[in-house]
Amino acid sequence: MTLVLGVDGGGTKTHALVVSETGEILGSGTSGASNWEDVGLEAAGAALRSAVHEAFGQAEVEGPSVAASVFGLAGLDWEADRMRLSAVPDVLDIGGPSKVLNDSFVALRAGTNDPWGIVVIAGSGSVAAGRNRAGEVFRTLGMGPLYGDFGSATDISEEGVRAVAEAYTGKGPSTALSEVMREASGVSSIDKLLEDLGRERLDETVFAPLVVRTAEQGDVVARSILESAGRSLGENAALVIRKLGMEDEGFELVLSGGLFRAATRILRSTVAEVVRGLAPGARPVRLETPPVVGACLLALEIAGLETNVDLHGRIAAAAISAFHFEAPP
Amino acid sequence: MTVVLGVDGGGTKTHALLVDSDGRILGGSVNGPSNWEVVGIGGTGAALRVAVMAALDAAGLTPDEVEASAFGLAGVDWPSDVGRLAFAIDPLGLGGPRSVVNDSFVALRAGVSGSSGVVVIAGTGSVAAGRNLDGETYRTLGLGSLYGDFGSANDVSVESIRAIADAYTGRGPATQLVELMCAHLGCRTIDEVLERASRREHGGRIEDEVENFAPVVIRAANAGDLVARDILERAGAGLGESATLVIRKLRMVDLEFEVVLSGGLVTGASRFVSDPFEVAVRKAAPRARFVHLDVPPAVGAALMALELLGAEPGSQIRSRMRREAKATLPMDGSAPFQAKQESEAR
Repeated sequence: MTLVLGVDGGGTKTHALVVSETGEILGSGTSGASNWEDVGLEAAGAALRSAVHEAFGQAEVEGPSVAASVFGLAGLDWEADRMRLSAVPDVLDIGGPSKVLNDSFVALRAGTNDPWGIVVIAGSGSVAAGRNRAGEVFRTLGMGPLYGDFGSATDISEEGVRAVAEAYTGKGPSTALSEVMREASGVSSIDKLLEDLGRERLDETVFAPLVVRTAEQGDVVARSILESAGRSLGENAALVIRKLGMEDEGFELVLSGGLFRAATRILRSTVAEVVRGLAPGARPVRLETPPVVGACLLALEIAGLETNVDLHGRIAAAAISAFHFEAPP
Repeated sequence: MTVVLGVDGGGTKTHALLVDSDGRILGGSVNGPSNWEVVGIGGTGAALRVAVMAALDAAGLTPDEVEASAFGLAGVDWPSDVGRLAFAIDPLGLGGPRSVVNDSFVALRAGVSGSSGVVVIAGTGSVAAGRNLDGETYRTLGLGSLYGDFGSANDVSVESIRAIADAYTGRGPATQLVELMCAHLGCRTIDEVLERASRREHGGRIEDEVENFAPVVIRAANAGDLVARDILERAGAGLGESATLVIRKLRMVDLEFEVVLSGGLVTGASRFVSDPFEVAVRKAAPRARFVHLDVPPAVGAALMALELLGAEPGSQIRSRMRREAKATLPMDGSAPFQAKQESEAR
């Protein structure tokens, strides 16, 4: 029986899976953050080791008996990071060919039937990435709005703060967000809310769920924040599509990350609308499985095995139950 | 003879001026920062004490001989700040009535010939403030672009990074800023610039940590780069929007009044900023006149202190005060980059 290892290491958690060529999950492991930029190289290595060992322990196999491995790692952004992180499989004593790549490509593969497609990730950060039929890849910088990626939960929260400030000064229209954010922050007035935000006694980055809820309740300002985030995410996907020459292709547009799982259609439909304007053959799909599934598929492929929709489905179903990946509302 | 005290305290310096009712400067001093948000309220108390005592020593006066005082202080933003600052100022033992306002109103008073008008300050941060003929005042939050004030040197710096990132990914057009930023930061490639900038600090907002790239943007704009010009023009338009907000709030749209420009980004640093600024303001208030602040803002505090005593300083007194204050205090109301450019030229 051929076994492979897939790992998805991110800013909040690390998932590892040992799967067979038939899509059976033999072991799974979970640990904390492994983005080396946040926690440092040593702690990142420890988190990866812990998740991988847990998976190997359950599967009752040793690292060297694995036929191939793929690590999707957040924080693998630049050439210098490849040097930093390419030794990970060796250090963990994992056998066979291995590959380390940016985690967005693992999420992409988790959501597509084919090895190509486009992914938009919108969680606490945001990024767009893609791979074409020729195997060429492109990714936006994923370093926040300052570097061109606008549309994360952080951005939506900050736009909520801006809307409240502008309603307060009169620069912008009034919005239900003012009262909603005041109440959620437990302060007595909008003055006090802005004072505490401005002086960093309150966190500016936590209001995205409130913006979503207020938009769904019909507030025009909150709704326009989500629409502008959706447009920006869609434009980033469009940038990747143009770079990879995929305008005329049919492909899956994978929507991944907490924002796409939030209780609103506004973001998803805005992204889809913008992308379809450029690439009518794009098929939006929300990622309903843990992204580590993509790492397993990629590992099977570099082990020289065929992957198909059935195999993908089996791994996905097993991973959903292994990691308790709940269905969104 | 009446003696009053005017103080202008900010995030980098504190100025104190002792003035008599004829506009003569009796003593002045320069000290370090007194913004309590920067140095803490204890630090503010200490900085104000040193500044005021030095000015009193220069004039040969004691605190109780001061008949009125006005303090324009950065960090006086919310109702809760008033009590906080009283705690720092009370121990000085000054005589007479006292007024404590946000420093933008002191810059306004220093720049206008009457007592009403609008001021726009665009240095590292930006703010717009105004006062109408009825004495009503209004001020934007001055907390940066997230809170509605766009157009500071910090915003220009952030936009310049965005522009080179967009040029790098292909989202935006090519720009000379790429090459100029590489040279400015001593990096060989744009990759290196972006990697370095992105790893400045984790957790916090990168936007708050950006160093001042406004001089680089101005250089590129002067060399004809359209992306750089667009950044500066948007900054100017943003400052114009903030000023317009103040003008509308104070119902000054149809009036003739002065708009005081202060801070390195608007005072002569680049027409690319001030032209769209003036266009935006004139659109809302066609009779607005633009003046550059060319005296230390502490002059405005001294004038406010005289007014606390019911005095109405005439133009002769005001011009003497301006002239003598310029000789007494360094004129550093500009953004840091302007001073740096000058020192490079020398």
